Amino acid sequence: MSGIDVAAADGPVTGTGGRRVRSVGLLIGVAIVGGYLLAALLAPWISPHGPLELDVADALAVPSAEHPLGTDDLGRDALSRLLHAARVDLALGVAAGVTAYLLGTLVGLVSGYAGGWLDLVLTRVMDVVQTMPVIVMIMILLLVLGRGPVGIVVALALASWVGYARLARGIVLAVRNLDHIAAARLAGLGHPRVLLRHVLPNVWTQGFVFLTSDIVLSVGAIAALGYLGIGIEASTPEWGQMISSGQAFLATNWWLSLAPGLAIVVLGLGLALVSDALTDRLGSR
Amino acid sequence: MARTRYLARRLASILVTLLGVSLLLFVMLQLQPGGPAEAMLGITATPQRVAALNRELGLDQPLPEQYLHYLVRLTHGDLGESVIFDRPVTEVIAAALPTTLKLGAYVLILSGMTTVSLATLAAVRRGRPVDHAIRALPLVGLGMPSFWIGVMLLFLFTLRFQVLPAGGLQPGLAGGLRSLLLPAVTLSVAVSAILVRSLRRGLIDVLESDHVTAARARGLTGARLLLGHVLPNAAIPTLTLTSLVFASLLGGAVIVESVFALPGIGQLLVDGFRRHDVPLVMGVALLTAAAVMVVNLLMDVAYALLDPRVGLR
Repeated sequence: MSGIDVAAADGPVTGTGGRRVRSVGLLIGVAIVGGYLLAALLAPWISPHGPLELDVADALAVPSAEHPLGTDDLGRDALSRLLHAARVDLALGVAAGVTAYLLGTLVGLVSGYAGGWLDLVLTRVMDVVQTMPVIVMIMILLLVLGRGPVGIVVALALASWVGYARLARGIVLAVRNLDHIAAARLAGLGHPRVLLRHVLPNVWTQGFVFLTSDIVLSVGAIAALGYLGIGIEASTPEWGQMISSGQAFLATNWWLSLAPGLAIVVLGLGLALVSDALTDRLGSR
Repeated sequence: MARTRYLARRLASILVTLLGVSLLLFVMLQLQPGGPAEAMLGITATPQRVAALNRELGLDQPLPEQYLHYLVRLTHGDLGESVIFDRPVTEVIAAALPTTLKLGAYVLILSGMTTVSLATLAAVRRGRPVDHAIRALPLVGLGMPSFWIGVMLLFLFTLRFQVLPAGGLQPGLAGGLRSLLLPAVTLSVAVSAILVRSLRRGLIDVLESDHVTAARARGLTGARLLLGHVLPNAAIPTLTLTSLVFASLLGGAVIVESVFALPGIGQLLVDGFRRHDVPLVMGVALLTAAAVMVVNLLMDVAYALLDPRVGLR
């Protein structure tokens, strides 16, 4: 995704006070992200009802002890759907993010290390991919890949790998002329070996920091597809699709659209806190 | 002279990238299950109808020839016929474009005002609670899905307080301003979230620089110092971010136009995708790519004009 590293504009926070604030931030971030992972894993056991359980007689119920977030227009328990949606959105978001991370890092490494015409072609490809907004690129790819979970993950990854590739390429270019890398090459170590032992660890960690801030954008894109009704199949609980179906009942049951959106915002906050703390600790960029 | 050469090279580079985009779109067209004709006609299409449409669209010719054909048509501004509107894609897009442009201009003004006032407040009150609060805004703002912000604003201002129209585009300047207000605010949240931190940083750097100390020594204070000496210089680094923001703004517009039922090109794209109108989807995609590239070029030129240290190379 076109993730923009906002932390980079600020530079590391100095002084012990800043350090302590960052540690608290990391703690809160990890707690939030951990909470989401737990909720997603345990959804079938902690949900009060089944996510697809219909009860038309009890449709659009207001929040109660029985249904803490009320029910939707088909009488399905909103909280149970929210928890099960965490599985879908997180699984797809993480899968797409990690795929983009691996693909982008690989392309960036090759591009930066090889140089010459290969670098030229690959950076051109990056330019082409990046001239289209991510959501537009995803839609074009989905026309070909179909709208199943695999298609969505692949489309999202193919639309968002460029950020990782540029990051990796930049690091390789900066690193390849450093003394210890040049020394390793002069000592006769082959290209793959130099790449693996000396360049990759650096690229790996910085790409990971980018991934933590990028995943919420992947989740946002999946939710956007769900909202537009062109994402995952409609009956599957998914945050964006829940926001969209709740929109028709905003006047009376506004919480149906509020809750799934808050779920995305809080997840984004948790990931941003983790990402900021990691950026600070690893002293990256 | 150097400028002309720079511009020529940048334009050439844009053309190469656009060619790449067109090739990508063309390949995507071919890769569709069942080919473009069957994809357009749907699964109920008879083999005869598929064959007829293939002939009509020239799809029975070899691929490289088809691509050349496609390119030639593009250079004539011909993006093909929209299937759902039964009109040329260029006409359909031209009818929808003003809405999206108006929305974009609105977002530019709103997010510009928000960014400048928040960043100035944070920079002037550096280290105080208000600075910390403003710096924390992107943590929340960046993760907020634009369509959700839109839905929540709809709830607040059209249902709860009933002060604004619920969707669609009203005629006239006043109507337009009213009906585009909520979509513009929606999109401005993400844009400002990206830009505020950068502008704050720039402001602080400039506030600490020698020429501002010199201006202060000459007795300049308050708004005159800020507007005349600090802001113009501080805005330069943020300007480069603007071109990055533009692509995500276009993407946001696609979704937000759907939320507010605005008849812009984002709506066209979504309708085209839903009903498998491939020429329409491709046309809109090509247009967004071209727009992003032109904005990038303009930003680079503006950057060089504003900062004499940067040459057009």
